[in-house]
Amino acid sequence: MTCRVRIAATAEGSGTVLEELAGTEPWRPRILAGARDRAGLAARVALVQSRASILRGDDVELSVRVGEGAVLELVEVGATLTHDARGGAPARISVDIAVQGGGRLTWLGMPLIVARGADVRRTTHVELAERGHVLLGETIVLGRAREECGALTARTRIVCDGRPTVDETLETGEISTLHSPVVAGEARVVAALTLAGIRDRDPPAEAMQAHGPATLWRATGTATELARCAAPIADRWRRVLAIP
Amino acid sequence: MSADPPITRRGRAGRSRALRIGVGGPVGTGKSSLIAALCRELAGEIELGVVTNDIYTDEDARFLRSEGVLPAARIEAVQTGCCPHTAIRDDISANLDAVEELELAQGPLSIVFVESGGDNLTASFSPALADTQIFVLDCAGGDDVPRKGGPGVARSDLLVINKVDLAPHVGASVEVMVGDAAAQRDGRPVIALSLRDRELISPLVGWVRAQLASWRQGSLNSTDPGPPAPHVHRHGNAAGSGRT
Amino acid sequence: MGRVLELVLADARTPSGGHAHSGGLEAAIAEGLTVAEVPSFIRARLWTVGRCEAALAAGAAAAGSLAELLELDLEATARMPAEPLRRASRQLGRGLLRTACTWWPDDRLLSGYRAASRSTPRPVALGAIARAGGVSPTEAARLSLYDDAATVAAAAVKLAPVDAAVASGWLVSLAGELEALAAPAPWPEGDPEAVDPWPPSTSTPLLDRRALAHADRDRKLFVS
Repeated sequence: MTCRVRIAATAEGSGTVLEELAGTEPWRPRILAGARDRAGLAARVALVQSRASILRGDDVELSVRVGEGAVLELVEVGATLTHDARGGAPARISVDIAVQGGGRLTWLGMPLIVARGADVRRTTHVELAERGHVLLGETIVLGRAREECGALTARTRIVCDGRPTVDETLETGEISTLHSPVVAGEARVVAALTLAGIRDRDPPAEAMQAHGPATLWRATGTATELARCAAPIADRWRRVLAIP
Repeated sequence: MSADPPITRRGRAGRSRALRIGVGGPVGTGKSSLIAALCRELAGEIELGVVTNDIYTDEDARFLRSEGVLPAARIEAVQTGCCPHTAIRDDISANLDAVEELELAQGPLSIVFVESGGDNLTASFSPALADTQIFVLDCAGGDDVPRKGGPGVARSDLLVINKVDLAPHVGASVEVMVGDAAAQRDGRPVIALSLRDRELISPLVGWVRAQLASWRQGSLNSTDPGPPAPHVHRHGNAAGSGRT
Repeated sequence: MGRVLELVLADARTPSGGHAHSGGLEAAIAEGLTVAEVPSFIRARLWTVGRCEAALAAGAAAAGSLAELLELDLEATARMPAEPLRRASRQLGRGLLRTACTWWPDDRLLSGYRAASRSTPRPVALGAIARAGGVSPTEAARLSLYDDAATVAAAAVKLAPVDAAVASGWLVSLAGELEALAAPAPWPEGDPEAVDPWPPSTSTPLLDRRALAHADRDRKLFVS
């Protein structure tokens, strides 16, 4: 079953309006009260889960468009569990984000739990026009308690002004590689924060400056540790993004 | 805009470059101090640069910078991994890169000293890296070291016997060292000195000036100490030929 | 010429500056990696960064223009979030190009790339050199993978109580997997919008974190 979710935000006056807000499964986008920041009034949309699971055979397309000067935040309301509920094809999630000049998108996701037997292919493609900025955050839990991780292939590709800036793929299917000292070691959780289209000029010590305009934070550990480490960085990068 | 350091322009073909003087010899013989002394004497009149080869730390580079004899930007540290002899002979890529980048960024320079990481008696500079080379021994290493020979002792363009002020304290005879060395050097110069005695340093400074003058005239003659010399055993009978 | 050239390019004696790098092994050992774990470290590298760099090398070996090579530069750097690793890759690429340009000074694409590239990532440089020498993209991929594995194995001999024969034995036992990783064609058939656009990418948070720490460390034997 192919599900399409579409969100489009445009600037209007000193604020942002949602030109398009459509979708039913697995997310129902709902407008939340806007947040006023230095850029004006931001649109906030909650991705309300119609169900808390990603199932085999799901085919989801999420399209997010942020127009010139528009400011949008996507908020997730709960963790997502990937399931081994049915046989069949892998679940596919395709996220396509485009941010125009002066536009800003913040999307700090809730945890994605990759349960045993899951088979999920997720791609996130982000196109930023010049002066388009994005702050993305994600947390991936490598299996439920006392359980081996299922197979997730999560690729994120960010292109800034036509130039590839970030391209990474986390693959959890091959356990010996996943839990090797090269990828995640003994950790059960992998977390990431990505600021792109703009760099943090004075980044925290643990963050990395990309070759192109992006600053990245990547970490492995327990959920508690990572949440604690991520919070101040996320706050800091929200503020970076809020500067028009 | 990139966070990575910019590549400086490549020099145009045919542009004359700095004279590269290799400074080699075992660990602890005073190579860094020798280079510092030369910089102190010459920096006022000659444009100098230094590339240090550090095996394990960047201490040599830090020492030189702390001596204040050259602007910090004129001192470049190359990390040679655990193979200091490789980096000056078998695989000079990193050193050549550093010398060329230094000349492009800081040039035009007249002399670049390349200090090797300190190794054994067989280590010598590739002629592709050093146009002329100084080999440094010291009295505290024992007055039998020159007798042991090796390419650096026998065929470096200049042999320095350093720390002569320590000789009486360690029971070393400077005369023996100079004599043993000279016997192998086929007329190439040996200088015994102490960096504490400015008078003793002046022949060293004079040698460097003369090398630079020859270089500029295109008449610099230097030897590659590397290839093994014809091997002669001293025998009592006259059956063998060759020099004694 | 192609087959012998592959041997020259694989030979550690051919100067490239590679002897000063450990493929992240020194940093891993500093954080507790044991000798027994080194073979699986090499293997995990091959399946992550190795595989992706092999694709870049193959792409560069198939590239016919400077623009294509510079595009691969961007793909390579987009896959290296850690600045010390980009710096190491750049250094290795420059070393390779310096040597290869002495072999073929008249190869305009090779010298053009050397002059124009600001990042000279190792696999792209290797691929460009392969093309100049008539080495195929698949061979370039194999060379890239072998160099990755052999760098770690050689460094292990210096960093841990390992017999060099044992270390080279690791490479022998990984030969089949290495061969398999080199095999996929560099260019995907069909839909360019496919879920897995070429070249592939990977994620190595621990390797990257340790590379940042290693760069700041004072007492170390290897640059990376």
